[in-house]
Amino acid sequence: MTFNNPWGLLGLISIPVILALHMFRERQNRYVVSSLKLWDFLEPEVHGNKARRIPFSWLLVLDLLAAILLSLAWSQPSIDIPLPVKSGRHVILLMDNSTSMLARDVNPDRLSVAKREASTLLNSLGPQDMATVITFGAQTGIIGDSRQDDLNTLLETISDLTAGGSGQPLQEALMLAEAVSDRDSRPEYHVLSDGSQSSQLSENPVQNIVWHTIGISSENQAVMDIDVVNLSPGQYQVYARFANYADSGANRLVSVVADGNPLNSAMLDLSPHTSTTRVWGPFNGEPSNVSVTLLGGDNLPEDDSAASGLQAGQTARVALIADTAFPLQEAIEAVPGTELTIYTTQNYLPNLPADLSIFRNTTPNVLPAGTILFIDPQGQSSETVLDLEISGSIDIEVNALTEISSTDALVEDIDFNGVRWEHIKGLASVPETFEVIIQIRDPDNQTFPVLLKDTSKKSTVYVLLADLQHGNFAQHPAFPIMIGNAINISAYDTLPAAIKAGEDLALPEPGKYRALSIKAPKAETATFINTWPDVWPLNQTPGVLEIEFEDTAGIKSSMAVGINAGNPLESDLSVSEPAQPVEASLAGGDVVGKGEIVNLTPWLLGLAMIILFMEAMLAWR
Amino acid sequence: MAKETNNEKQDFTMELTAQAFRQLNRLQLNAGRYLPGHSVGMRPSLRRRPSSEFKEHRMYVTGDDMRFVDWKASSRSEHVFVKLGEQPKEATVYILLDCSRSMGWGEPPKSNTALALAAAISYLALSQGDRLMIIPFSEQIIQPLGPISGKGQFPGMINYLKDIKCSGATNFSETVHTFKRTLALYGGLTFIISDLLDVDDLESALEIMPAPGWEVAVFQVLHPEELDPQARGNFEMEDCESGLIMNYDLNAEAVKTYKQRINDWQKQIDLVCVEQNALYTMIPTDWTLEREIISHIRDIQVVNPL
Repeated sequence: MTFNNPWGLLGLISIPVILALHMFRERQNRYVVSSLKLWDFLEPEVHGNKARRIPFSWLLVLDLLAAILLSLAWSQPSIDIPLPVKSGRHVILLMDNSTSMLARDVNPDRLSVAKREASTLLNSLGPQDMATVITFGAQTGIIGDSRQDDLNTLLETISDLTAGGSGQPLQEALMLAEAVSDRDSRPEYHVLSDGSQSSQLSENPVQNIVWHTIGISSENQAVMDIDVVNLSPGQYQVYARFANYADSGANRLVSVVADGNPLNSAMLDLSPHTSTTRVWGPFNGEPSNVSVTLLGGDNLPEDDSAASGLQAGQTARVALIADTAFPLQEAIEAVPGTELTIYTTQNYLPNLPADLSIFRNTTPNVLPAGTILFIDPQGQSSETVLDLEISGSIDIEVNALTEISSTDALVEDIDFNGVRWEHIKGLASVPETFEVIIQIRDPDNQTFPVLLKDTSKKSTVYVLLADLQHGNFAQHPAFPIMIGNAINISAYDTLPAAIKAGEDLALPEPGKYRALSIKAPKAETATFINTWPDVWPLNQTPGVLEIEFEDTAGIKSSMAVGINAGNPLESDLSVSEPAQPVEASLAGGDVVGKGEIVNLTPWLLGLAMIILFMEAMLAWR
Repeated sequence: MAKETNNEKQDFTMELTAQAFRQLNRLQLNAGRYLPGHSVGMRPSLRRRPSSEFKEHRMYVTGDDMRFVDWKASSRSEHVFVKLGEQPKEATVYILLDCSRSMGWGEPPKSNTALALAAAISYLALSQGDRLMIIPFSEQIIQPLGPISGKGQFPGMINYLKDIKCSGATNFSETVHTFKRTLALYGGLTFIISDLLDVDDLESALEIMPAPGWEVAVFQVLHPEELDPQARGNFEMEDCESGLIMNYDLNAEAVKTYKQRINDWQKQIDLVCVEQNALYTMIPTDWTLEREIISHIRDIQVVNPL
């Protein structure tokens, strides 16, 4: 029996108090008579002074019982009722699939040895035994369970297991293992790891862990990080950080490659247990990716190379359809990486490719693809394309307030204080499909929408009802910032230059792009049309992830993302001792099955209530 | 439930009301002429002396007062006769007053009734020119009062009674023997006022005060709670005199038996008193002097109308 609140046992102090009270009460029940001789015919119960002894009564017994029960209830006792243990075992294999398991310090590598040991364990299972395989290191999860799959499937799953990645500690895997363990069987937790993740085990959530330490400590050098910095268009510089996890110094030849073409190579002198940074460049050109490789080979070649994509330089194509380009032209050209094409209302064709189309005082017959910004739209044609009924021009008072009524990326971080509009287009009503982003509130508390967003179109459509020729909006700082926001909204989504091995890569949402193809290292190209997953998983193999987008206009753009395995936790191939001692043997042992913990508090309270009721009845009588 | 007062003195003089004195003034203590008396008093006696009130004759002797010679009778005889009349005498009244701790028990204490009764008897004795002795006792005699006589002694007697405290156990036999040996040489009218608890040898005590020289009246003062206990339940009962503690269960059956025993006990005391020519009566403490006690003692002829 365990007491969750041992202080509750202090309630037992009430027992002597109850005895004292009863003795005091007995003393109070004294009857002085003129002579006891008149009563000597009665059989005395007890001779002498009763205050010196504990007066027995059923009331006292019930009082003591109630006090004991309440004290015990206060201490919140619980008992562990052992359940019958099945004869079978539940062998739970926790397999490390982090990058360090790819080390070749054992033949052929640590992961293969772990697979072999796991297969041996699974083959030793008896007919009543169960097995569950859980991975940790790169990904934590159950990859096989004999309660659902047969043994051969489990063996195949283990055989297909790959390694690469980091960041999923053993702690979570043990908690998962404890959760899935069969409570009616004897659980055995077998950890097959080189210790790179188990060294961070802060608390052992389970018992009966059997450690299978894979590998032997060995030396290793790694490229820990790479960064490619664009100095100017067409010029870049390469930074890389190297680490030596060895007790002695190492000389390694480093090669810098851009899109497969060698850029530079140099000898690198690495001191033991240190890291160092090298810079190459500047180089001219706009490659899609740059990689740095340590040549010569060691026990973990996966972390000897690191790559980075060069996503900068993507230009946003802006089409300005206006008879008067000023001041929009200046505002657009002020945004770096923008490719501006100016059309008049006569030579504009809707199918011209553009990420952002700005229409000033005009509306097309067909909406183009991409983001569209209408400025001061005109009468009849707007009714057909925009579904807006423009009722005429409204004069705005000087002291009218500009309010941002809806948060949108177009007006993000813009202060409209001081903007005077003077004239805006008036609307008979705001259709339900339009969202008012900016409105003007005059001194009479009357509101007029000035910037709207059409949420019903496939393209992102903004409508600015203000006239840039009047008022001060075109001269106000809010104007170029809003144009810049519009360009950013319409620009291509960028991807990270590099990710760590094992990490998921978030992909742009479909809609802006029609097709997507991904070429992972040592894998076939995967092509997606219209739909694709939110993230690209399984980035375990180091190298370059080549991604090609095709937008709705059929224009293709390529990006590269480096997948790098260099990680202090994984590249250090010294084998860690298990953080927890071995607590159980593989076979048999005096393993006690987990029992059912029964909380006795409600039972004790109920019993105490019954006794108190009986006591009340007794006292009433 | 009656409680012990622990000798807390309550004023018994509250019983001595004007109405009570008016009743007492019309009464006298009933005493036989065989009681010894030393001095001239107001009670009839067997003694004769030369007197104008004729009772009998005797022959003249030298020294007789010539005023009491019955010349007519002497002329018819050759002898000279002197007229003799009755010589009234006094009586000695003894009040043996129990002052043991048990007399202080009850609410109000039994001693209140006992002292009031003693005061009433004393008043009658002093009013009739009798010699009065008040002998308080518990384990032994405690500073007796008297002998005193005359109505003028009444206030002092009252003050004396006021100072009496109830304490100690009862040793009735030893007390009576000491009284008889040292204080009461000639007999008299004796009133024993006690609850008679712990009195085991009443008979032997009465034997030493035989008639006709002694006339004994026993007043047993009891509290109503002693006669009919109201307490029920399990009690730690304590004897107020001895301090002895016993644990009894006072159920209805026990109380019924107790009351029967009290009745038998009183009958036994009455029988003893009859055998010893003594008068016995019981005075409950809820009786008042003017309403019940005086009329009761008149009914049993302890007192007579004047």
